[in-house]
Amino acid sequence: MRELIKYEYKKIFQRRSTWISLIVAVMWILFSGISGVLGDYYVDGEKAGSRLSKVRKERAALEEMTGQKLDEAFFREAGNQGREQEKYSQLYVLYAMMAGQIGEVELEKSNEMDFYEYRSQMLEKIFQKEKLSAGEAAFHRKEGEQVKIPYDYGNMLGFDQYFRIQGTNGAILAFVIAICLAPIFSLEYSSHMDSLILSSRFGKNKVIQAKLITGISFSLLFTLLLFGIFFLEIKGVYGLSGWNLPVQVSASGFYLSIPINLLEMLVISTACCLAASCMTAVFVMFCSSRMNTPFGVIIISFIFIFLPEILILAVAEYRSLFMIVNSMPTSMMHANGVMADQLFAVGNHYFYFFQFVPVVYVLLILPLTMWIRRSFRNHQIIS
Amino acid sequence: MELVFNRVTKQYKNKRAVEQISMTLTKGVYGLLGANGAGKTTLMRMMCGVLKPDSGEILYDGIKVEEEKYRDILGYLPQEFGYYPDFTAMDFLMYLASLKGIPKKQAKERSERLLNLVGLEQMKGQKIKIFSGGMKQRLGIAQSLLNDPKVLVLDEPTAGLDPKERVKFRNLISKLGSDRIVILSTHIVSDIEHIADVILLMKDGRMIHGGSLEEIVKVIEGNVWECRVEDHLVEKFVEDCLVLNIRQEKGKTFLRLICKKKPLETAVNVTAALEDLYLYYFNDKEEIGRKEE
Repeated sequence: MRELIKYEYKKIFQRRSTWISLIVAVMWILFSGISGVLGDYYVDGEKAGSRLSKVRKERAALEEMTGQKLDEAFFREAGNQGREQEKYSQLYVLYAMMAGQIGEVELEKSNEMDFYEYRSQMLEKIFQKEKLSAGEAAFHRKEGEQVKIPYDYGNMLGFDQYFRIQGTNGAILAFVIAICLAPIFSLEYSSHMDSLILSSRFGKNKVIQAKLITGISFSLLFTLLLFGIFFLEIKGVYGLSGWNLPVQVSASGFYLSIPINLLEMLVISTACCLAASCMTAVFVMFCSSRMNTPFGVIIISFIFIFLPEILILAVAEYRSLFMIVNSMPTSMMHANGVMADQLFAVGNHYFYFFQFVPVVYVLLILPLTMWIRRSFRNHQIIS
Repeated sequence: MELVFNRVTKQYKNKRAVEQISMTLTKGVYGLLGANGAGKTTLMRMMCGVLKPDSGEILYDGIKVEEEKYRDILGYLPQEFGYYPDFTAMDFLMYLASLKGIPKKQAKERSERLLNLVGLEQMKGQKIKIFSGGMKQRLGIAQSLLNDPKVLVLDEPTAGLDPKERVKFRNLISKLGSDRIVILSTHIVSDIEHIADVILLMKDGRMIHGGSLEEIVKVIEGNVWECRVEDHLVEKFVEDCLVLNIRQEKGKTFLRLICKKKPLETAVNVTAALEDLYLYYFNDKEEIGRKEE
């Protein structure tokens, strides 16, 4: 089996399309990690400096604040010092998010109580907008109560940036997986290797297993590699020292009620990315086992990967459709998709997307792999 | 050692590719002869378990051809021989050896021996994409022998080989046929004539004739004639007989033809060859030839 897997990897890496797509993906990842520090930033239409220097200052200021809490003293000082202070700039982002939902709220005129009250109001507004059931809203309120108040504060910049870009990177990564795995079965048909493989001793059993193992392991390793590069780059540019802060202090987690810290969110979203890559790989291999050319597989995969990106906004109002679209692999590569407020209810128990979608994937992957097996072993050499 | 075909039938949409074929093959070399579309390749694919018959079955010593046990003793060279252009010849054989379940060390020895046998030892480290058609075909032959098969199925094995290579190939197959079932199809009649112990003639999906060369040519024995005629008489012979060969010779036209009766006083009866039989069955004008019977 090891030999067969080795040869499957060899076939993948001997294709020029693999190398081109891998290089493009790595370049994209590298670019995405530094995209936030390229160019200049402007205040009131005037150039205020480079983004890199701004991020550096913010990072240093936030790292200095490690261990501080969003308490009364903090808000008093923040109100006095104003938005020019880098250490409070992220707090202004949170206030802007709240203002977007519940109307005018000002940091300068707020105290600790106001902040948490505004946030509760904001969440209630979002629950209404998302048409959550009474049970779901109650679940979220209960979850929110478990988040320790006052929140710890520190450098959340890296995690925030990571979660913000992770979804787009995930979609690119999924498409590269599709390009690399599309030929895994279909090229055997189009290159006429199918006759030799299917008439060989292991052609109808072990080869299929080897291909499945190769496809799945390739997608997992590739996901880990790319997200690993992305993680290190983010760490270098923004820093990840605020790993133990509650997700609620970052812009990516401010809307969430789940009581976890940023590192836990990273672990959960990475696990979901891995599950989504695996599901994408199996879907691509399924198409590959049913189609006679890799090109057709790539087209179908492209739709499968990028359609949810467009649909997710259009179906936000329709609960069932949202549940389906947000369960698709590309959606599961977005941190906000993984942590969406909409829940899957079983009796009185509620489950987040990151809790039930991997189970759904396992339930789908099992019959799909069996179908792939059947398709390849029953493939008829006609032309 | 027995390969049994039991009423094997395969149909593609409106065309019946193989129809009710029943036969038993034992040790020896079988040459499958037929025109394009006769059903040879379809039959061979079914024999290799890569195409399912619509009805009937093929068994090797009681084992169904769909089973792994059968594939373990099978060697197959398909008509359209697939390969990975960026694999070297050695890599390719090693990969196929792993598909056939041959241990690595043994696979390496066999691959080297077979590359040597087909004259590709110098090319073992070269990528297949730079190989000529004949070299690829020889590589295909080598891969079919990797597992020392008990049943060897070769679909058009001599396509692309030059005359010297064909002779080498024939000798190889003749040796192999002594202790296994070898079945090969080719358009090159002389290949079959030289190698095959049994010749099987296929037409429109049916096995119309089978036996040794001597046995099968009996059908036209005594009816093959050669003569030289005036040019203006040629048309008459073309209409009345099945003309096998026609060429200009010393101001007259030389004809080799099949006729039930002596076509001309000066015509000489000659020994029938397999090519005559092939043309008799598969020539476009066969109806005319048969009219006389």
